[in-house]
Amino acid sequence: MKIRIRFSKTGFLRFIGHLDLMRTFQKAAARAELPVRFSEGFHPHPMMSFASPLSVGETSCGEYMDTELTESMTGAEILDRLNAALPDEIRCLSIRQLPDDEKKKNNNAMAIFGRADYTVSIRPPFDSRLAGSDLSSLTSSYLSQPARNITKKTKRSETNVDILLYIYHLSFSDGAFQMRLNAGSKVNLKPEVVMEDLLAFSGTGGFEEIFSGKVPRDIWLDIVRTDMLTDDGVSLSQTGVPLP
Amino acid sequence: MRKPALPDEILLKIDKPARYIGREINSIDKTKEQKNGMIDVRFAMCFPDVYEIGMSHLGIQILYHMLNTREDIWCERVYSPWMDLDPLMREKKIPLFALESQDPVKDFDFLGITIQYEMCYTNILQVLDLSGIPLRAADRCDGDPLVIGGGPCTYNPEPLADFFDLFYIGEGETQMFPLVDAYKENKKAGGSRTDFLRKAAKIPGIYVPSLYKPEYAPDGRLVSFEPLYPDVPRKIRKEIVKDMDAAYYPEEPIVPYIRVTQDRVVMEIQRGCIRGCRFCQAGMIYRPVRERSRDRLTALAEKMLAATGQDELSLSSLSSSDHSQIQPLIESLIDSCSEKHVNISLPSLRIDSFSLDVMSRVQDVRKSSITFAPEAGTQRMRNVINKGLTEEDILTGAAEAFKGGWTKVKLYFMLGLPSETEEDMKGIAELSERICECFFDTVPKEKRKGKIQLTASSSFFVPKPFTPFQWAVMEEKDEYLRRAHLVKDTFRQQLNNRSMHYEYHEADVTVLEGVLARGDRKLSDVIEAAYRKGCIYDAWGDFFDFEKWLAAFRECGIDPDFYTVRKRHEDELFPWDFIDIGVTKAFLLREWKRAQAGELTPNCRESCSGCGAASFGCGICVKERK
Ligand code: SF4
Ligand code: SF4
Repeated sequence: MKIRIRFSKTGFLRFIGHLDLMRTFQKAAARAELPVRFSEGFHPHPMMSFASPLSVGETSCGEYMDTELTESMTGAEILDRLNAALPDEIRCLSIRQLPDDEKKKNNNAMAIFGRADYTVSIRPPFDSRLAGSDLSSLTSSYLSQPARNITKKTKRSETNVDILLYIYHLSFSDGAFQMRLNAGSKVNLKPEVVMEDLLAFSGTGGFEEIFSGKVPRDIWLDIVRTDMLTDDGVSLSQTGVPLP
Repeated sequence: MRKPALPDEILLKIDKPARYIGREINSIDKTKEQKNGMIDVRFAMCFPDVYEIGMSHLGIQILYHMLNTREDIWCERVYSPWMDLDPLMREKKIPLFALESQDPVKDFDFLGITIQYEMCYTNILQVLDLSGIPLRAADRCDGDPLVIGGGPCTYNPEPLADFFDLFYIGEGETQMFPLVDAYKENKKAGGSRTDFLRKAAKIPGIYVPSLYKPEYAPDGRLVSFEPLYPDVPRKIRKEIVKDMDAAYYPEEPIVPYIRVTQDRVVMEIQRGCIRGCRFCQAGMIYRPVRERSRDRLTALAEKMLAATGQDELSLSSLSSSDHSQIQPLIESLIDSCSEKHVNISLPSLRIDSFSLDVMSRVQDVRKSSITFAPEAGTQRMRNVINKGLTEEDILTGAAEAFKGGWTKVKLYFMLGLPSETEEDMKGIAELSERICECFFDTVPKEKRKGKIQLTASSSFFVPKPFTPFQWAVMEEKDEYLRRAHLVKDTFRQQLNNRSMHYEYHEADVTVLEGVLARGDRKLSDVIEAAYRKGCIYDAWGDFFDFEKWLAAFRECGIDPDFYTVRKRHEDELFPWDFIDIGVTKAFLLREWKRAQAGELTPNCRESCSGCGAASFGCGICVKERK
């Protein structure tokens, strides 16, 4: 039985990296005695795959892990057992069943993931420099620009990219910026890139240290990944079928 | 929820922030109990090296969980901040903290430090310094934690004597609770720090260095070592666990988030060793050998795996092949573990048909290697060190392994052993060559699945306290290097040189280890001076700076040669002689003489040699021999 689990990662655990998160899940599944399918060979490992690594320092309430069980179980039991075994700062939130179709290999979370939602706020003391600005209209006038070209540097070349093409949503509400960005293996637009460009566009002073790269991303930004979606904008939590 | 002691801006800047946040599965959080006033004693347990090394140490895990079984104690962990964090903590004045509560170590009642190797001595000072605890015990006051040391290096605690309030000599399971109780009682009675230390000195296994006075001859030798008061014991007898099955063992070990050196469940199958290799300190100080029973171990394995979800189990002990139940134990563990998709990481076993069979079942033969520790290149030298492994044993084992498909061989040797001649040095390369030849002789050309790859490595011998070689004279640094080069040259002359790789350890470190291992109290000054000059993480080749150490010796007017190349007389009083490990000095001296005569001494299973450890009345000493 193939399943997809949505989970959150918060608090202290934002400091553990992706590989360690995977190990944490493998060990939790073993403690929970979940009948996870193992690979073959001398050192079999549990078949688990994660949609996309979360950067160290970010928190999330929209992470996904696919796995396969050798026996069928109810969704509630799987979630209960895993949550009892996981550290408090990782919570499994919901579960879906995936079709068992062998031929459809490309439907795993990593392959179908194409967009991500973020809630981003500027941390004190940097936020005070925007006090008084109408951030809602800032985001709409930003989006109504014909293009926002940024230079993307790779080891070999520099290319100009219009990032507006990859922003599906950007607004300011509840004291934070809400955004839906292109993500996944092809173009992975990072929220800090959007924020930097937005500040540059705003013309507000006082962000020089940020532009020069002196202040690390996580010091001036609080980034929460809130969900992952397919290329069609469907939340991964709605893929597959419900598992009662 | 408790806030991390380190601010985000630091945690995000340093390597592996998970080293400092705690909260691992099975770690123990008594925040609530502490708020409710239920905690009387806060114990910080420290391994003075980086998290990944410290978390892999079994002794701390045992004591951590054991202390936490008591409701009135909260024991937490402390490790050395890595080199990227150390300067940031100093600059931002962030005091060193314990992982669980993230509270400063300075607020604790005890700081326990396990001392596993000499090269961590400056890290101990780093821990004290970053904690804001005065480095010298004499400068501490009632509000400071009591700093207590334990572990193998405390079998000669003297070089560290000035930095510790107390040392615990021996195995921690037995007297930790009495020690904590004495502390609580003293506190309740309004007693001072010095009152407590006087009382603690009467607890078996506890050594309070400030209550003893060493006196030296003009040439620097120790001539007397006496307690300051008549009620303080003259000798400290090591503590040992008599019944391993009844002893506490953590069934729910901590599961680190990041990959640590021992990233698996570790099960200690026995303590001590029946073989008395004459260079080996562990073989003497942990006498007599005591086994855990197969039933207890099988049950333990099951519980530990269930509580951790780890996918690997390793068996730990000295000379594991000597456990009387090793075969059935490993067989049954392999069966039960494979069902659970758990790998067994085998201890280093004597190479024979049994070990080759189990190895082939749990490892990929083509990728794994077989290991021998002949320690010396010739039979003469092996007799001197009482290593009962013959060339025939090695070649038979190797031949069998080659037939089974193994092609990788690892060999461990020591250079600079007492009475070593050029023949013994060359013997390292020559023995290696014969193992290569054995490969070509045993495996016909058409059956060879690869070429033999042999790695021989040698470390330089360091004489340790409480071994028959405690009287041995060391060599100068250049002489060590000359010997290593001679071995290297001999390797080059061998026919199969291209299948063999030889590597040797640093000579600088050897000299310093030699000084500290058999050092006395005068060295506390040198260690502090070296630390002040910036020595830290000396066990890490990248950071070890011998020049700074030499400058520290000069500054303190202490000649390292006094501890290494000076000849010690048979009746010299050693700084560690006030410790009673059960094994007598008379036995060690007898062994020293037998070594010089090249005579072998039987192991404890063959017959008892009357070493003195029988006085503990347990383990192999009270077992009947067939
Ligand atoms: S076999 Fe020899 S070297 Fe190994 S632990 Fe025993 S005494 Fe020490
Ligand atoms: S007293 Fe005898 S049996 Fe016991 S440890 Fe010593 S030599 Fe071995």
